This record gives sequence, C-alpha cells and structure tokens, in this order.
Amino acid sequence: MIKFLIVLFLALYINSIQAIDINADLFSYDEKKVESEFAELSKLENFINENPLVSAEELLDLFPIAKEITGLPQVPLYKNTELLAPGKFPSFLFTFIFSTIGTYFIYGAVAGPIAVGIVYFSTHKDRIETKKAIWGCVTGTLIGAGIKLVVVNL
Amino acid sequence: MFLLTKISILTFIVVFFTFFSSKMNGQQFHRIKSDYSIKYKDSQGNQILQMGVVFYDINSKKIVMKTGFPVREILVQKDTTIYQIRNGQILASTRSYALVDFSIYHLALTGELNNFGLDKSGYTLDTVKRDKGLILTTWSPPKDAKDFLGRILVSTKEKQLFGIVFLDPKEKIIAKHLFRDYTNIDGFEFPTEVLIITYSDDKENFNLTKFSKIIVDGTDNEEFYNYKIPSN
Repeated sequence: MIKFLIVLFLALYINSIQAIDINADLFSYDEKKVESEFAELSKLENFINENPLVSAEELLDLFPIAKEITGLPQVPLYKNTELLAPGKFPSFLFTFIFSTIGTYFIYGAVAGPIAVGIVYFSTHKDRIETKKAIWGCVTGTLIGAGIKLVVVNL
Repeated sequence: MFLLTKISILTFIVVFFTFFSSKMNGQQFHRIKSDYSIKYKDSQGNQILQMGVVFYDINSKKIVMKTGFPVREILVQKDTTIYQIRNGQILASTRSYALVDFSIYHLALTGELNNFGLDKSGYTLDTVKRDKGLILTTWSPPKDAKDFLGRILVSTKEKQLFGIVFLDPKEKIIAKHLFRDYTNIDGFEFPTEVLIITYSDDKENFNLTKFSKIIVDGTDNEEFYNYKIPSN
C-alpha cells in the first residue's frame, strides 16, 4: 500500500512538473523578429502587388532572392501557364486562330475580338490571359489580312 | 379575415426572428473569397512566397487557391487530398493532414473559429481562466490519442480567437498560431493575418498568411467556388 502511494505521489509530482501552466505570455512572440525574418519577402510581395504584369526576367534582375524561392526554378512557367483557357486551348492560340480565319474570310474581323471576349470571361477577367489573347488577336488579324492581301493581288 | 391577418402577422414574426436569430448566430455566411499571400521562412533560411486568390464555399467543401506567384496554377483541397492543376490538368495530388472542416475558412463561416472547432474534434475542455485580457482554455486530446497528441491551449480576446499553442505529449511547445487584425464584413469576422511559428530543435520557423480584398457571399466566380477537378 505504501509502495503504491509512493508511486502515485511520484507520478503526480512528475506530472505536475511537466504540465505547462497556461498564461497569456505563452501567446507572445517577437514581432520585430518576425518582421526582420520576412523583410526580403515583404519587399518582393509589395513589388509584385504594385507591378502585377512584371516579367519573370525583370523580377529576377531586381530581386535575386526570387531565384531561391521554391517554385522559381520553374520560372519559364511563371505567367506562361494557361490558367483556364477555353477548351484547354492556350489563350494566344485560341484568339490567333479565330482572328486569322476571321480576317481572311470576313472583312472587319469580328471573330478575333469575340475570341478575346470569350477568353476574358472564361478566365474570370484574368489580366494575363486577356493580354495573351489580345496579342493572339492582333497577330492573327495581321497574318489573316496579309494572306488575304496576297491572295487578292495574285 | 381577422384570422388571416393574425396568421400573416405571426408568420412575419416567425420569419423575421428566424432570419434575425440566424444572423445573430453567424450561420448566414456560406462562401468567402480573398486575395492571399503566404510567406514562409525556416530556421535554415529557406524561403517561400506564394500569392493568389482563395475561394471557399461551405457547400462544395473545396478550398480552391488560384495562385499567381510563383507559378500560375490552381490548388484544390478536397477532403484530405490536394490537387495541383495546371493547364486544366492534374499535375500532382498530395495528401493533406489538415481537414477542410477545420480550415480557417470553414470555421469562420460556421462561426466556430473562436475555439478552432476543438469542441467537435474529440478534444475535451479542461480549464478556463483569464489572464491579461485573454480568456485562456486548455483542451486535452482523446484518451486513446494521448501517447501522440498533446494538449492544445487556446486564447480568445473579445470573443475572437487570439492564439493557439500546440503542445506535444511531453508538454513541449511545438507550434503557435496567432490570429491578428480582424476585419468585420457585415458581421462576418475574419483575421487578416495568421502567423504560425513552429519549433523544431529549439529553432523557429515562421509562416505568415495575409488576407486582403475579402468578399463574403459573393456571386461572381461561381466556377471557382464550385471548381470541377479535372479527371485527366
């Protein structure tokens, strides 16, 4: 019985040593340390927020830390990835095809701008995809018009 | 006629109070959209920055993250699986140990963030005390999990979740979660910053998530709230 009580006492004593007494200080942290740890990342974050269309190359020139950030070894993918292209078509190609064919067959080439509109809405007004779509439309229109001009003058 | 008027008035009162009480209980919100950034730095100097937009709908129970940096892709967590989607196809899927039901989005929308959903997790409330303006509670894991799960300490300030301290079974602090700078959007309260400090070998790793441009119960972007995971 005495042995049991000694063991019980020791167990309770050990438990009382281990148990953390909850107090408000447990929820404190060093704010200045947190800020200094994230100083570089915060600068990069602010820059991207202010320049959402910055190219990956420009970013790497300005922020050498960008190379070290996980994910950035895949830099060619940055902003070259299609997000939600219609029918899984890349946005550039989608509008390029529409505007080339549209300009060749229809004077006024409305197909290109319509395709840009489709990309704009299907990607939920994504600026980068829309920009790619506009470039696809412009390139397609020029090529379509060029082909038409050559064919007409032959 | 008098009876009809009485019934109409009664119906109005019932409907009004049902609506009002549901508002008071914080149960009326069902989806959230927010810009986010995640900054991470570990004790070895490894750094991560991820930026994008997150969508969560309480009915679809999918956390959809449309990332814009460093790679444009969509990350979807459904149940315990995270899908990485690029160009409309699944690139990879990984297992998550965090459940969607215990995500900050789900808990905030259901009004359960103040105790981090611990009352429904199998943990039991041990003690409650007040210290320096904080209400402090301790939670013990289920008996059969005490060998590998430690206690959880929760603090609230003005009925908002302030912090969580996770202990291992030997009562050593393994992580702190701090919820800062709450915003209130039509009664929906949400922290705009979540700081997570994890401890490994007595060294600190920092993770700071910031939320901005928060929209509650938005009607746009339906495709993201109910994102269809490609079948490849």
